[in-house]
Amino acid sequence: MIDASLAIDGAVAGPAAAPASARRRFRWDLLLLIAPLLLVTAVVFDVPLLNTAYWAVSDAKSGALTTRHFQEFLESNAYMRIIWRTLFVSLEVTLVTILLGYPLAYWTTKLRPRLRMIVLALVVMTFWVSILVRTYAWIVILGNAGLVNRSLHWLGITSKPVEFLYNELGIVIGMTNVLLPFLVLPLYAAMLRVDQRLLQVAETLGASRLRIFWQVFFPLTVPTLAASSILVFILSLGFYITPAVLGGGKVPLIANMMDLLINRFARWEIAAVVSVVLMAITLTLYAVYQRLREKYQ
Amino acid sequence: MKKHLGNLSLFCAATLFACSGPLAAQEKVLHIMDSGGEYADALDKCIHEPLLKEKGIKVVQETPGGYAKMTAQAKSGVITNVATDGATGDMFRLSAEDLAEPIDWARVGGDAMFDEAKNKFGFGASYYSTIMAWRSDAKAPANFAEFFDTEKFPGKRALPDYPEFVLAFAAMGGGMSVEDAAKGVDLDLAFKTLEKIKGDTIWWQSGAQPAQLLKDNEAQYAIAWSGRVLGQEGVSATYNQGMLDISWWVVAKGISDEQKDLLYPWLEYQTKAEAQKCLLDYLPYPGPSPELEKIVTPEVLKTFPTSAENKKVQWLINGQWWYDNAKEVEKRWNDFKLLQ
Amino acid sequence: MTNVRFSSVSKSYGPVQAIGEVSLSVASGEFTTILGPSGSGKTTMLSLIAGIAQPTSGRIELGDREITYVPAAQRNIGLVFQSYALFPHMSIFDNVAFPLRIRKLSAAEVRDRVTDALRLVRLEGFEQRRPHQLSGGQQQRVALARAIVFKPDILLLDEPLAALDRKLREEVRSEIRALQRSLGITTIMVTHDQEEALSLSDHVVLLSGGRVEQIGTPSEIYHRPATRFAAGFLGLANLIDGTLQDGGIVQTSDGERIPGAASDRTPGSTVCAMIRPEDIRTHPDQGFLQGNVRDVVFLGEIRRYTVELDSGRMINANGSGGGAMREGERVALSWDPASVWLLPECAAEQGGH
Repeated sequence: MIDASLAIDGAVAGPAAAPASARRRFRWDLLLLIAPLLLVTAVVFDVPLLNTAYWAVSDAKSGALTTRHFQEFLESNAYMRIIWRTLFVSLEVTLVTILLGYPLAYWTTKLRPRLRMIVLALVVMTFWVSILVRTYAWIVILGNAGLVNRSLHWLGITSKPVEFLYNELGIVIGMTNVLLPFLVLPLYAAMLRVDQRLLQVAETLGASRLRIFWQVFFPLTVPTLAASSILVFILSLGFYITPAVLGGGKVPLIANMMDLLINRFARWEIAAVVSVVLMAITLTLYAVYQRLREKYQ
Repeated sequence: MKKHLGNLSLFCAATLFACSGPLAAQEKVLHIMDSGGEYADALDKCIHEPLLKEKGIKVVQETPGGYAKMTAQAKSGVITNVATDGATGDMFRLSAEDLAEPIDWARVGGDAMFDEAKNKFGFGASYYSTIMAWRSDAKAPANFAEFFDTEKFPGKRALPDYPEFVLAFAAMGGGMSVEDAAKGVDLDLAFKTLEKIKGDTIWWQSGAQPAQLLKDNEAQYAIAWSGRVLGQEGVSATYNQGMLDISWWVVAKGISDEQKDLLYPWLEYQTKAEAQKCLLDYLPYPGPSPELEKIVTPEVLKTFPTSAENKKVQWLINGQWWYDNAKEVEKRWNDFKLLQ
Repeated sequence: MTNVRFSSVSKSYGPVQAIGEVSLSVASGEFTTILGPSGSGKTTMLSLIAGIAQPTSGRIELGDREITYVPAAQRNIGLVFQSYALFPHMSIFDNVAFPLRIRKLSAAEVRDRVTDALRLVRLEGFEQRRPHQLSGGQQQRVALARAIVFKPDILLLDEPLAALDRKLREEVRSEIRALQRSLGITTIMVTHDQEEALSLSDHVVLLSGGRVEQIGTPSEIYHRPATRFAAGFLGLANLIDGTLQDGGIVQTSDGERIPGAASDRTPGSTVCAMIRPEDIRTHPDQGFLQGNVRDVVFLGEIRRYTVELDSGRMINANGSGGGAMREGERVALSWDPASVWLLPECAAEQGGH
């Protein structure tokens, strides 16, 4: 039946298709309507970006094009190391977010409707708290004299405070906390969309709960999981506040390095190179993200 | 109809652009930039509010200031901020790169100031020191050699994330004498020390951080600016081997005459001993007036970096050396910080 | 081979009772249909047999096992949903192999059985395709293959022909029948379509409002319905109330005399008589009842006439072959008295819509 109706549709659309596309006029009136906004966007957003890219390849004084800055960047130990470290930390954060976020989303779908709303509201509410306030709050919680250490000490589990802060651990905790909703919310929606019939039929075919989860449910959530993970990864790359505050100056990431280059040493050309590199990485990942989304939705 | 819609939207956009342009400066506003925080609050209360009342000049502060922003401003061609605060090293750099406007001291007038605070390119606004501090319940170090000895003095160090405020001390920690360090820093020695204790270091960027870190027991020792650690509960500090410096106002080169008309009254007001005394309520950084010592209590005088007993155990930073070696310092600092 | 038995099974979802006190028996190897309109509880029955839901009370037995509360995974039944429920992320081969791999068969045996199953449903060569690449009918065949490949005790079908068009429906219908016969597997189908039920089943369980209206062979239910609901649900029925006279004649309140079969009911009692449209013959002037043709519906094989009798009653009658009548024409109706069926109860319709 589906085949037949498709065939009929095709037959009708066939001859008419060719002239229709040729007949599509360019909508000048629409262009005019959005022209002001396009102009503002171009001037405020695109031109500065292009300008930054220009700085990356031009000599500061003469304006001539040069690859000197890129060379300096690639040859330097420090800059490349920061890039790698940022990629690595972002990967860590993404993994931790997945390990925490997937079970959280799954558990939420199993709750009664009212509890579900409460949990979702709690997750969304974190967006309302300023990221700066949240990051500093971690100091109160994780510091040597903070809640966690004091509780551990009181419970007798530790004798010395555990160093949660001013190192990579603190940064990962802080960043995961901020990025968790970006994973949990889409996953929650995707999990709800899984056809319950598939799970039921798998059960009648004899599958255990574990098998149903790993072979039927989980694979169906993987596209959303992958897309959201890439989003979390991209966002981690650009983090500034959390590494600055919770890293104690010992775990500089790309954004912190840019801070040094721009605000302290005024090496704008190198900062421009780093910007271009970061943008290239991000755009590539974003393209992958879009492909994944389109493919599975 | 659609055509009219298009024209209408173009008109609206054009109007929007016109309206959003900067309003013609009707009132007298002086734009400056500085490091903000409590310092900005102090300036507002003690200098800017009275100035507005007396002369009708409004002062708008922007944070942060510094060498990089002055450069950026000059590069863009639009001098928005008339002056910035900066350490001696910054003043040297700015003047050497022709980014600083010479100050017409005759025009400043006002009350007397210490001579050393009247530089061709800078108005010495306050004295401050960078000194060593520690938690009162930690073992007290006598000098910087001990400060950087993490075996005999175990604990974390909170260090300033600024090369000019830490490298000299690190060199002393590596064995350099105070006199030599004051003239010029042995960078190899300095970075060797920092490398040795890097696992125990926490870097701070904001002036209020080191005291907080000490209080939270995140760090047990710190190098901090004097005003932030003196008089703090649970924190001990000493001026011994401390680095004395002046915080300057540096004026941007190429300001207009209108801006100059706003600048000089502002500078003049800051020469008053009363205004400087007011600032002391917020941050214990004394101003350049010789009268200041006479109008404060002896307890407060003890905290001055410039009091006789404190001055004699400290050393003055050599701005010239820092300017000459700026590039190398930057490169080595970069490599060190980014390679941790 | 296994049979299925329901003993006084009830199922309520909160305050709503989906089925109440249902008892039935499905013989081993037979094709049984649970037939009913929407809301009759047939989907609930399916869920209870499959193990997706548990009854509120009663017993369910499969063969000699009681499976009332046994988890679905241990019941060894094959289920085909109306939406087929093929795993979209797996190939056809993996879909069909799924139940076999659970039972830990060797790779070689898995391959053999999957190939056999696909051949049975005439889909050899489709192993590496994905469900979304197949048409609806093909997907259904894969779902069937998957449901029988592990040799379950019973096969459950949920409205298998509903999504197919007329032509395909006839094909699939005979395929399902052939498959069931060749495998000899006890099969229970759930549907609202009486044509599906009558054409495929050995037995039909008619449900309405969560209760059993009638159980019997298709012929029994069709020709000798137990209730008004049953009579009306399985096809068009002309229902005439009246009083039974001697010789099987039913006399209506309008004075019509309906010749019927001899019956052992007491004369004078109230009866409901049923005559199917296809049992009524039309003739321009010779017949038991006279009337005018009010409506003609052309159905291809037959023509259905709605006739308004002189008494005002409306009767449906089929006409076939030549001699088509037109609206407004005068017509006389006659029938073989033996084809008149007296309903066991004359009560008004219970439940249903």
